[in-house]
Amino acid sequence: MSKHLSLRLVVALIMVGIGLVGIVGATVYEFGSARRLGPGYFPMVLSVILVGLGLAEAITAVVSRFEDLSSRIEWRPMLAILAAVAGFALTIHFFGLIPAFFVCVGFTSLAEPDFGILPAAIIAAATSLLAWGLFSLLLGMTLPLIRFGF
Amino acid sequence: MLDNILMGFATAATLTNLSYCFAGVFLGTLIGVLPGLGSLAAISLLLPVTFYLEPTTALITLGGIYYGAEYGGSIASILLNLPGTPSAAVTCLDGNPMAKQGRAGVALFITAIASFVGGSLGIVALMAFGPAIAKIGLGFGPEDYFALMLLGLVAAVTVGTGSVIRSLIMVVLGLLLGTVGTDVTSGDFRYTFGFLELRDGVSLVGLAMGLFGIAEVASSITGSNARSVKHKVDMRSMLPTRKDMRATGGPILRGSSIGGFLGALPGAGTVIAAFLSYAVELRVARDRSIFGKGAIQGIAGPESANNAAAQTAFIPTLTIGIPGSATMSIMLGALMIHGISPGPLLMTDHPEVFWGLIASFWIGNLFLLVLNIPLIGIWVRVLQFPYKFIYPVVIALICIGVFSMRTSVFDVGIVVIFGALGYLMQRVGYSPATLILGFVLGPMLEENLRRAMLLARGDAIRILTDPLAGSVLALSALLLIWAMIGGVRNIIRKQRNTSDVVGEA
Amino acid sequence: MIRISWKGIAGALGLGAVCAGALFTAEPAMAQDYPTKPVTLVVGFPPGGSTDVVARILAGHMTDTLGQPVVVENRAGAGGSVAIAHVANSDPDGYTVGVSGVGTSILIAALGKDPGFSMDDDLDVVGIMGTLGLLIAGRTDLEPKTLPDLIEYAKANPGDIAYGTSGVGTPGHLAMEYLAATAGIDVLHIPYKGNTPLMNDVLGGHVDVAMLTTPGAAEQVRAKGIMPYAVSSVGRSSLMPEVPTVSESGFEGYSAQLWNLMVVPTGTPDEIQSSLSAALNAAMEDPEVLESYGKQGLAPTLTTPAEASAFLAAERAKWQGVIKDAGIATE
Repeated sequence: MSKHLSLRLVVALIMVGIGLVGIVGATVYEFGSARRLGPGYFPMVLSVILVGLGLAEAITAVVSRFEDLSSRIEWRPMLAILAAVAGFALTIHFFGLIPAFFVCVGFTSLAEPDFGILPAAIIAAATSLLAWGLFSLLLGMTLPLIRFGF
Repeated sequence: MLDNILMGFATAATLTNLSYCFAGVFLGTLIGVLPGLGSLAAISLLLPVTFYLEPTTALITLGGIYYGAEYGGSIASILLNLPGTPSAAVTCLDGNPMAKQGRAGVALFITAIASFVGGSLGIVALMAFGPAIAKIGLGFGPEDYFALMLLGLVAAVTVGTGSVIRSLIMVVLGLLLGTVGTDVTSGDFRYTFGFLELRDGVSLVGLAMGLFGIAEVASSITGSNARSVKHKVDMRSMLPTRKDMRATGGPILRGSSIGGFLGALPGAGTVIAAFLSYAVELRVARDRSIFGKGAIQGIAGPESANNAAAQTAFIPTLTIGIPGSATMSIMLGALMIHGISPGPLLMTDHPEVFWGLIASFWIGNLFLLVLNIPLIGIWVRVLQFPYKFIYPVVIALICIGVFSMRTSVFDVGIVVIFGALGYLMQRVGYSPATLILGFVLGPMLEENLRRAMLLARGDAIRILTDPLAGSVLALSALLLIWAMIGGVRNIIRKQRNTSDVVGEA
Repeated sequence: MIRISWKGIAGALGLGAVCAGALFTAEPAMAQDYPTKPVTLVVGFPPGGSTDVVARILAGHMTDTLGQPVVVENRAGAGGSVAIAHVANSDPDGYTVGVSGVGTSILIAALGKDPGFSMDDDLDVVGIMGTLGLLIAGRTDLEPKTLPDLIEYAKANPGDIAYGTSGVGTPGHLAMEYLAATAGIDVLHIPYKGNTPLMNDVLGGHVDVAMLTTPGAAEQVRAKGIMPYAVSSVGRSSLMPEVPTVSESGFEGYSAQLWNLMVVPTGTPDEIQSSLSAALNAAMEDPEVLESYGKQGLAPTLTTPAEASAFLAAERAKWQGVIKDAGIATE
């Protein structure tokens, strides 16, 4: 089994998983009648269809012998970018906007092996300045630039 | 009529109004380019500034911001695959591949032209048939909206150029994600897992930025040195060739008509218009294989549809006082702050506001063209920077953009989750544009079906035999059959050239 | 294995820390010289909405009285709950003030849903930012022309009248259910997502009766797009004085109105609450504000913080009674 095939299967199974979560969740809501369709009607029908389609895609992925696309997961850039966004979320909550930009750019710089310390710091500083000018000065938004609140 | 139009231009063409219109277009473009910030965000952010202006000037400024932001969104979509609005997601389909082929300038140029023509035709429709179109819009009941949403979804499935199963998965997943939040009909919270933030559903901007932006950046970094396309940026490489121009005439006209009509329906006019126009272009094209790989028709049609719809969306807003979209309701709010009650009598009570605004729409569109054609060169140069310097800024701007929409850390978390999912999906060839449409239309589809069933007291036949809803449903069926015939024909063609091995189901 | 470039992240973080240190200047403010920095007025609805418009009109004039900018911040979500929960969790220093409507103040909790905060334990009421009535209106070709006729018609044809509201558990929904329970009629509820699609459907004749907010409805009444039956407020609306109240139409003592309260986190010093209350009341006495209020059909209500709290208690008792009497399901 090639790497591509397994990834396609994995994504298909993720869809099946989402569908199963949907089914379990939908059982809590009322299904309703023809006149008064309940809140559970749509989610249940959609979840069942999603499970069906996911299984169909999974079978196709296993059966299909052909391959195309160079669909490998590049772990390093993916994790670095996700960490950057997550880091931004946490930092802006606790420390405000400017530290959040530095954390965000810091993590993105890990996406490539040799990004370098100076470019990262310069980009972070420039982005902070740009965002401050645009959001705070020009648009007058009340964004916390720096704070120490827990 | 002519007097009114002249009065409108006289109101709009004062030096003050012209400069505010220009400033609005400029600022709107600037904000629209930022990832995650669309016209809604631009107008919400700049609304307080307009409180200090005369009502007409304020509206003209907001109108300018609106167009600017819509166009700015297209710039971000084409250059960096970052759609700020669902309709811009359609522009990504072919716009971004064009940019990767080094034809970003052409794509932006065609976008500007298509937007201008679509917008102008929309304004003509607004002036000529405004009240009549508004009446048609009012005639649309819940069952008709349900039928229309279904048509939009069918269009979306047929838009997918890859595997049918994967297109369907995307639509269904989008619909399912759309059920998250407060159920309108029962008031129940669905799939909120105890989060207050989820009661209004998953953040659309967070979803789009995760699925498109994060996935795009994460996969572009690989071998980013090879990615930055080095090509000449001179005027000739930016101008469309004669072949490009010939290919865009039809799509622009078809797109404008579709958009002009659908825009008048309050709700999802612009989104459905863009997708429907893309589906139509895909159907009428002689060579379908170029779509999704940089087909210029795939930009021209939806962009003109989107802008024509954006114009006619003002029809219900101005003639009957019912805002056609969230952006429109903010503009009505601006009127209210200035002590003008928006409603069916706006046209008779405040003709100078009504006609001045319409005239300024056209001036705004013209400014957009004048402002943006020379700027295309600058935008294209953004791509000349090493990607290493672009992506950290893009990620940081996505974060701040999503955060500032609702001052919500939670929404940034949404970006992380859908960024991961989007990356995996992108690796194996799922189309997130279809998911976005399902997500936007899903809640309206469900709400209107359930409302229609309630009003019909559970009698489905009454919905099917309704003249309007029935014919739209028939149209969806027709489109589906058309797509299936096309699919079968493709399979037959593939079997003929067996050497052409394609692994897609 | 991923080789992490610690230098990059360390550099970025280091520079960030330096900037943070240089910019960190916040000091705790004293209650007596309040306010020393801008006051944030948190609104739970998007810009341009009716709540936002009221907040912005008042914020402009409160800025003049307080001598510091009063900045409106929109934190839309969960029917306003997100904003009020944010205020409830803020420091009680008077710099974060919220605008809380009937839903967040009473109905969400009274219907058994968790608003994410406790109105009694987490928040103090500073004042009332004006009250507003609802209009009961019908599509123009509906047979009954007055409220008593409508009730008569509904009695003769049970389940025939479909009425629309801006959502489940909104004041409009509860007010109509209460009326139906009082009159002993059977009507079908059609919830909408806000006033806009509701207005569309009553104008288009797709739904028979609608519960509408007065400023938007008054314009449609003037253009004869909808037929007014009655207003739910205590007195007639300044926007359409010709329309009777429900109370006048045979349901004496009936009233249902919308309002917004100005709230602060519990523990905010009394002096600060008084300054805010004074600034709010001063704004509502300003001729320009009064003119804007008139155009929106809003009635200004001048109260002390104690009076406003009593108002909230009375309204809560009333709505809880409505929910019980109308037999509306709670979770």
